[in-house]
Amino acid sequence: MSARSAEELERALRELGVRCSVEAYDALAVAVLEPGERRLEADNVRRRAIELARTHGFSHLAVELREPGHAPTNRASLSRD
Amino acid sequence: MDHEQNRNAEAVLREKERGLVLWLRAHGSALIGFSGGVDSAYLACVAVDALGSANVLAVIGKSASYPEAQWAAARDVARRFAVPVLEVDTDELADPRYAANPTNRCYFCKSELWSRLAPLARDCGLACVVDGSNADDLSDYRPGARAASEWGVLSPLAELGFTKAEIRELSRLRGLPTWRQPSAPCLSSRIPYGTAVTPERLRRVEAAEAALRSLGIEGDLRVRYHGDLARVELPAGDVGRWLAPDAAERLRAAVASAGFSRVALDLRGFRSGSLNVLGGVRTDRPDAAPNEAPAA
Repeated sequence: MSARSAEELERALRELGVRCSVEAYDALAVAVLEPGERRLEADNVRRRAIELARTHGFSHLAVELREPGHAPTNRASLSRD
Repeated sequence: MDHEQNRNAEAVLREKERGLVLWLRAHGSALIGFSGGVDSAYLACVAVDALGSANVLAVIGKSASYPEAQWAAARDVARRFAVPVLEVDTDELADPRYAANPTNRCYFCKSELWSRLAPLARDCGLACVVDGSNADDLSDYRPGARAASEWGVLSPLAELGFTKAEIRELSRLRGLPTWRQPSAPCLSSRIPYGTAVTPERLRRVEAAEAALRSLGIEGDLRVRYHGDLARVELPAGDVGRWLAPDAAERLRAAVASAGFSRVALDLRGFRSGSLNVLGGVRTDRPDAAPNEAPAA
């Protein structure tokens, strides 16, 4: 397993064909999909994305579900005590 | 599996249950830490059969971390199967060592629980205190087991090698409604280690999970708390269809209604002890199929 890198995971996911940005919160990676991006609905693509996340140091990969037409949120809000 | 194999498998399980009956009769009477989950419900029902209801007391420890739906299920099982039940309020959140949510949080919760139940068993003249821990639990990170040991709590299901799958099957054979009930560990298990456990956070998680159930989602699901973001774990086989735009929006809106401004769907789906992996207290198993772990 390589060092944890959101940028590298984002690049790997784009190479897989998944258009997204990736935010890292410890070992959790959150992918924010570009509008219309639906490749992760396919089992094989999702399985490969999970493998890529693990390869890049993340134990968890989640996709943020965005309200249609919603503007980007404040990324600083994912806090811990 | 053909009919003959089924009968053989059932006979093996019945024999195992006879071992449990003998174990209980050897002790004579028991106070059971009763959550109404798969394990403790099965244990309580066998105990009533083996010892008679006069020699059994199932005690529910009720607190903010105990899901309301689980409480209702516990009461229902007790009523339907004539299990004598008592509720005791516990207040683990008042213990700052628990509320700080260290990796051994469960130790403080179980210490609070057993410190109330062990004297109660003595006062009631019951010979022992037992819990529903099973053989599968022995392989996970469970600091609560140390508290049980310190208070002399016995775990017959684990001791006699009952796996979760076996308990489910024996529950089914007994007609217990819990046989296919998703596991419902305490709500604090949704909050990452190091993030304080508060009643308000527990309520948000509970409300979000109830909202997901109202969408018709069955099986194991969790809403993991990450500040303003809720990370949803669904049964692995359901993840793909909930990523479709219309479904995703219904899922997001349901969870957002509980007070989360951001909602994310975990791509791997439900994992028992997921935050143990995220918190670094348990190693992930890359070769594990999603959702393969016995629910806990």
